[in-house]
Amino acid sequence: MLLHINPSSGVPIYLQIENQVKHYIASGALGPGEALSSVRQVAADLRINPNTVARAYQNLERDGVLQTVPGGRTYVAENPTGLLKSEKIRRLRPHARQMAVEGTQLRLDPQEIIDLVWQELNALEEAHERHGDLGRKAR
Amino acid sequence: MKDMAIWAEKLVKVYSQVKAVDQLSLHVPRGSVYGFLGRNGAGKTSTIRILMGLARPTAGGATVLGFAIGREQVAILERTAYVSETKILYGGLTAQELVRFTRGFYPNWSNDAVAKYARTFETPMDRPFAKLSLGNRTKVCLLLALAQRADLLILDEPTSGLDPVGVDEFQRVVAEDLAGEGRTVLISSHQLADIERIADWVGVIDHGRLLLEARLDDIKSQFRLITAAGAGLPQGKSADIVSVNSDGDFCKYVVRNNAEAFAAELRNQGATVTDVSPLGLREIFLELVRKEESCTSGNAGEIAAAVSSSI
Amino acid sequence: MYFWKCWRDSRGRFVINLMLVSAICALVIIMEAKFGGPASYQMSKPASGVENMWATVGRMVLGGLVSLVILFGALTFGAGSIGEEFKEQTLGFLFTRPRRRRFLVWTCWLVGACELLVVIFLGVVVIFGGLTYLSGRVYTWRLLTAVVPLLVGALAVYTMTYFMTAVARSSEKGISFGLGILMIDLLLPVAAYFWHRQLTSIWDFMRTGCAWAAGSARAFPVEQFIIYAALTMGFVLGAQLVLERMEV
Repeated sequence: MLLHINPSSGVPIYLQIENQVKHYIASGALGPGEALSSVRQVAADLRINPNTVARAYQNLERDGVLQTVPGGRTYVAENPTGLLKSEKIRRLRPHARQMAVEGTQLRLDPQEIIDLVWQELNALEEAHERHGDLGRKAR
Repeated sequence: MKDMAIWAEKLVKVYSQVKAVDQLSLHVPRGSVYGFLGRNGAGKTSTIRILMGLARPTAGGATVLGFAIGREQVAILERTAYVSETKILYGGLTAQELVRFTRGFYPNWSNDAVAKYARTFETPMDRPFAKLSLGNRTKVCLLLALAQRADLLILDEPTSGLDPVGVDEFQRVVAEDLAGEGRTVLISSHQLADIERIADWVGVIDHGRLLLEARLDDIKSQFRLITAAGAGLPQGKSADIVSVNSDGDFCKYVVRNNAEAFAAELRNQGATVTDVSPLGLREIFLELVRKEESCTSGNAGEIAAAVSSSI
Repeated sequence: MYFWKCWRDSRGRFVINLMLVSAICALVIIMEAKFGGPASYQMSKPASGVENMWATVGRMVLGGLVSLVILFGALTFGAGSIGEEFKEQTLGFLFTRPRRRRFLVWTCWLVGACELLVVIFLGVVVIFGGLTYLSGRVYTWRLLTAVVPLLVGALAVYTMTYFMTAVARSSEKGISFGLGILMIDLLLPVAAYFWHRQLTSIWDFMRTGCAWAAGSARAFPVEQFIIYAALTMGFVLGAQLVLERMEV
């Protein structure tokens, strides 16, 4: 897992880490049950405070994306999330609102905005398949 | 108080009628990396010298790792590693000899750590200290401090003279070997970008007083830059408004709290809030310590009028 | 550890002083061998009154030189040891090591005191050995008692300079003060004489030591030893207090 953070961007570091981990999982680079690098290792590699990494991992665990074994190691959750559909929708709504606002400000058609989302979803699926292929070739 | 590595209560230090430290109450939690920030002469080094027993406070007291400064200073020194702002050690001794001199004082000393950090920082071990460049001297000072395996490290400008690779290695060591092992680190530094990466707590000192002490995450989530356009916008500072910068009908507010509420209030007054954006540590620091009202083309006329009317 | 470091720093001074004292003492022996010694041991009789005069003058000069060299050593040791810390500005490092400041102050003092003892002892032993060898019989053991007044006098000067250096935070000022006190000490007994009072000065200690080394049974009030020893201890304690309260 190769992470990259920008400490002086407006986005808090822990959030940057969360987003990148989610992206790795969504694109299939990290599969269910796979172990993540330890908090200390990530902190050392990124030259950041371990508490920041710990916070990101904790948040992801709370969201059901990761799970930590009592021994200490953190893994990608087997069942990515056991949340109710309504809760999932509630979580996604702010991002959708953001897109809607930005798109309207830029004077894009609603259809253009929706097409954009479709394109991104397709890209993720393709990436997922690529990682799957690589995995099959490796075995 | 028990989970505070450093607890200072209303410290005062007066040097010939100048208050270098003025009612300072500092709280450094155990296991944290605390960035101690301030301008030149703000009182950082004076505070650190008081904690290390090199100077006595005029008033107030402090405990370090539970021990009182002054009275139990040796107990503090046994458990604290210190790198001073002036990287001065015995000039005639080589780094190897300095290690030999220093390790006798500390039972927890680790020779493995000496070898490891000498390698990590590429420290020249066989040249007399006086003949080393500033960067190399800093490396030796860091080496001696790190090999102590202390519970608390107080580092005053620990990257003086280090090249970018050295700084990067230092950051990694703080992340992995210090914070990663639950040690407490107080870093006094002007390198705000480095602090922004590695600190989880920040204390800003100015003219001997603590302007701000909070988790870095909280600071960055609460400070906002609000850009608004409209007529008759509020111009004054308040508890939450750190600074106001106006240019005609445009105004930039740096707000330290309740940014959304303030933005809503502006909108209620009919203004257009064009942006509510976060700020980096550097901008936050500069806004906090700048005292002069900035003179923009907007309020220059008002300032000139105020000046001429007071003559 | 600090003992080792102080010793290392003072090695150069120590060796120079050792050589100087040995050289002067060797000269003393040669002089005595050539011109004959004082009444307690006679190795050869001076041939004429002129030679006798030269011998006397030479003896006075060398005796004075021995005192001067020892006191010079005491001054440089006193200013050098703790002065080194001030010159290099390393007190900030030293005082943040986990040791009580008084321990460091006394350690530093002790290194110089031991070195002074060795220097004086060596000088006296050189003379003792040389004279024994030259006169063909074991010279009187009383020679070795000469170490006592020389040591007490030298330690007093050493400690006083040590204290002055700590107060002035500089070895140059420390030496200047030390020299100044020695000069005053030279003149005080003269002034005291006019007021019909007796005053024992450091120079008296040195003269007594040299006299005893020469075999003369010169009397010396014992209480002066105690007074000066107490004075010496007072100065170390003073240095300790100054450095304990010092802001670095």
